[in-house]
Amino acid sequence: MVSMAYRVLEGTCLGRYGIDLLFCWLLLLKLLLFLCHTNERLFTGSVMIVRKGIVSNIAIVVAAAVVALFFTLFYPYHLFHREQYSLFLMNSEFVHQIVENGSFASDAWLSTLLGGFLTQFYYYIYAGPIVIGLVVLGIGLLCFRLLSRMGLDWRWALAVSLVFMFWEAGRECVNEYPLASSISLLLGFAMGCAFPLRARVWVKVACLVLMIAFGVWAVGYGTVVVVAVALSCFMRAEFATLAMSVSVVIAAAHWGFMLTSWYGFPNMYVERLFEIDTKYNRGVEIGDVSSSDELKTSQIGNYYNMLSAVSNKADDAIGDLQWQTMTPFLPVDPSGNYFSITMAGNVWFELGDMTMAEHAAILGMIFSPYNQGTRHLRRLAEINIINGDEAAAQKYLNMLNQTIPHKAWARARMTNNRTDSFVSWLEMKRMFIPKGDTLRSSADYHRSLCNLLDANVNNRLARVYLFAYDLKNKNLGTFADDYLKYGNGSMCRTYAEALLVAMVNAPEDKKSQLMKVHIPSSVLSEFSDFNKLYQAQDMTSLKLKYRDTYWFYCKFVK
Amino acid sequence: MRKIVIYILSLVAISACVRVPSDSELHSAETPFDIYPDYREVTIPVNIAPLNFMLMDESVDAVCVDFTGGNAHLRVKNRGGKVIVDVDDWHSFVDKCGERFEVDVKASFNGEWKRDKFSIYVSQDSIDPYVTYRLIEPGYEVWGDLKIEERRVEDFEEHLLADNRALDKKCMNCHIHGQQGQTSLFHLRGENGGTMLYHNGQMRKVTLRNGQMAGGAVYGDIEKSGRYGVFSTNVIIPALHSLGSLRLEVYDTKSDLCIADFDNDKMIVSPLVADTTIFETFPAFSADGKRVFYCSAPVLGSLIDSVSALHYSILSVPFVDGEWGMQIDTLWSASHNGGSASFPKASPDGRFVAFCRSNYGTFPIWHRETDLYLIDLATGEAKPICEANSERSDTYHTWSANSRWLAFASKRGDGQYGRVYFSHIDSLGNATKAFVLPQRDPERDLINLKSYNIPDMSPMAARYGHHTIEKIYREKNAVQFK
Repeated sequence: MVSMAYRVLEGTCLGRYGIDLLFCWLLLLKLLLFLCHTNERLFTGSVMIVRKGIVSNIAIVVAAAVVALFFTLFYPYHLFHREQYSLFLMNSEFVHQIVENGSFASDAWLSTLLGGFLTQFYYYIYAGPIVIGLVVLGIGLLCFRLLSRMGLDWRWALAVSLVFMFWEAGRECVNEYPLASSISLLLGFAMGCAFPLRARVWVKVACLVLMIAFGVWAVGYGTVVVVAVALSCFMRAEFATLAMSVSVVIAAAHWGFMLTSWYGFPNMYVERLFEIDTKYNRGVEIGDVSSSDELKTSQIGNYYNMLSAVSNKADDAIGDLQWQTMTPFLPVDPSGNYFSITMAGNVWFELGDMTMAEHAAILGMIFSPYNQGTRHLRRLAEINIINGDEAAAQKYLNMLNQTIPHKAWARARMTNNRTDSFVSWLEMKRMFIPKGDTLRSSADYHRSLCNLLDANVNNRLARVYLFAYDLKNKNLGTFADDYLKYGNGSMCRTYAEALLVAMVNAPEDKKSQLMKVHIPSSVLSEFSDFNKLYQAQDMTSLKLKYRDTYWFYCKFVK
Repeated sequence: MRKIVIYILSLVAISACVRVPSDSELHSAETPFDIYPDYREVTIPVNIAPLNFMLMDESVDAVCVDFTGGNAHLRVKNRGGKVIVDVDDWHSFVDKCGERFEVDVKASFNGEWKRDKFSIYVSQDSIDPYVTYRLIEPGYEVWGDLKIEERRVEDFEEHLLADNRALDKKCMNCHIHGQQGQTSLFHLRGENGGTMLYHNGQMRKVTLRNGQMAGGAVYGDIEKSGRYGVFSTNVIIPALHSLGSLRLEVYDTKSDLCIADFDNDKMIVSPLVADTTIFETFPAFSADGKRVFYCSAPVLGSLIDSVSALHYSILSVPFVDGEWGMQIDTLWSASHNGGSASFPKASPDGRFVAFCRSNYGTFPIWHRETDLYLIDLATGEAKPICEANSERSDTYHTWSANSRWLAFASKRGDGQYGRVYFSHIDSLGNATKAFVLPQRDPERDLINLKSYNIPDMSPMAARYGHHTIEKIYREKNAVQFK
């Protein structure tokens, strides 16, 4: 019945994700009703208490819904990004390694395990906010219950719970923040609720010791909640100070490792960057990335250039490139961060240089927060399939086959399962990879691009980037040589302008070759005009008429 | 409540049981089972850890394996496709099974039982119980998290020797030790770094460089007594191939040799092995410590354009009474044999020198054609160790103390991630099929994103751990060698 309803609704304007969202909100609503019902059963003796419970729970659920809605509507790409730079395999050895090593370096295996498992659902654009909403909801409800048990006035308990919820939601806005940290806090509150507040002193002490031991082993910094609870109820006990000191020391020695960030706020610029990145990654239309404010950053500019060059089928794609204001290539070395290196790898992948693309993928993975990521594994699998190194590709595909979100993707790329469309894509990509071998340093962009064009002179993207690189660096002699060798008849206003300047300083033999290139007459006459104004030092007219020309860039832009 | 718990526990216990299929249920497999690691027909040392393996087929829902040899028998049953043997059961079985045992693998493929059999040979030549290696991502030029670990090969115990996350992410080179294990070292690069030297029962941070040397110590070997270490000093340049399948090339623009005297904190250099027209690298002592084997090639012009013309030969030079000798001999000539040699390593019994041969250059781990070779010092004959080699890079080898086992890093399998392999070498230089270092869970290698780099076997455990290294790194200044 539900399945039928799902299929019917899926066909409506809501779409699949919309229906998923609707079902999740229905689930949340059901949970809310359950909580209200539970409160009613528990506190039948006092209508007032029941109402307070209902009001508090409603407030907490609404707060969680607000958090989830915020992530759904305004901040979904951060969550997707976090999934891309994490890895969780449904594999006993992988789980064993987490249990053994905790957060890849330390303890808190339970939080790490749950956090890692849930983080993979961030891949689904609406499931991530639901996960965050539920975690924050859990924190709020458990915090409120704990504080109520400790006798705090319900209004204060509610206020503190909401503070915890929004504090944690803020920290979840930071792109390197692990969900395991929120889970640690959640489990800490759960342990706090389980602490026997009204038992005998020796029972409390025993429970405290056990809980701290379990907490630092399996939960992480959330264990401080138990310490705080115990502290408040041990105030009058004779040996409370000693017990608490020991507990605090034990907890303090460990809580830092999961408390990676004290606070966090949304960063909408980074969210915009992640949106572009995510859409590129999913092959979705990105839309307008032409805001001048956005292009001031090298990272969005990198995407803008790549997407412009990829999408523009005309030879004059350089006209759209922001080559004047930014470096055509982000560096693939330790001077970049994992994200910029990954983005640089995207450009090399599109260009067809699989060595550089693989270099960037591995470096991006090495420098990422957990030294692993599904995104890099996917890219490495693709690169090795293109290179024909099936054994290497198989390793990455086998790993992805053991994840929930990437299983289908990996299976579709295994040797015997490839579809015709994938095979066509593969053949297309292989057309652009170098056929001969040359050595170059990873920062020798010129040589890398020439290699690509030597392999396939129709590699339009490589040509656009090569010319942009020459022009950006004002290497006009090199540009003239490259144009004559790889130009392949392509012409645009910028090339014409640059060729005219190159021709002035070229030796006779090259000049005669450049003379054969057809330069539009309008450009020739404007070049003459530009030179007259330049000799007259008429900067006002130069700026007015030629601010956007290569001549102006060449003479005046440093 | 109690009934529910009992019911659940019973259910779990029943579901965990794997029944033994009767002979009538069993069908011979049409093709041999695809197992990982490939332990078919390998020769193992008597003291190796359990050879846990798995069937690489998702449809396998249960396995029942009988190990039979001599009068010994061991049965392992498991849900899923993994065969994981208890360490104690394994050792008591291998001790009694004789020279060979049979592995009878019965696997249920979606309920249909099939059978496959193979043999494993047991050598009474024990292997050194410890192997150290560096765990590193197969990045091209840059490192991330590095660890140096010591693994006991008789079981699965691991001991962390150094972790660069606690050392300001500094680069660490691989760990080497003397034949008796009493001297060992590794280099820690960058500011506040140095060579972490364990010698005469003391761990120190030292600088293996003096004013006569062009750079710090890089590749090296420790002499039998542990007093001397021989090193190359290299200026190393990484470059990328445009062909994606070739990936990385690393070459030297300068390289010389030097010897460190660990007792007197001094470096011993000679113009004979610091020739600016010759590259000298990958030095190693002979078994008696009286010669140094090393690789040598003439300096070429712009190597980025001509690295394929770079071919290293193996030479040797005497080292007697703490002094370099004057006579250089050629052990293996690149111009005569073709290719390029790297990492000559003398067997402790003095009979063989193992090295690896690539088509060209000086960084064999990224050359997939790299194979291991053996030179018989009694005859001077060199031959490939075909039984141990693979179609991928096989390199970074080391001898066991009894000269009967060769450990090396091989990129066979996935082609990207190096694993530690072992091959038995008899007194005549005959090798056996190599097998990979067993893991507690055979799937570990398959999901690991680190390479095992430069394995080094040792008869005894390292006498320090990562805490010692971290303390010395932070608190001590490096002792400058004269």
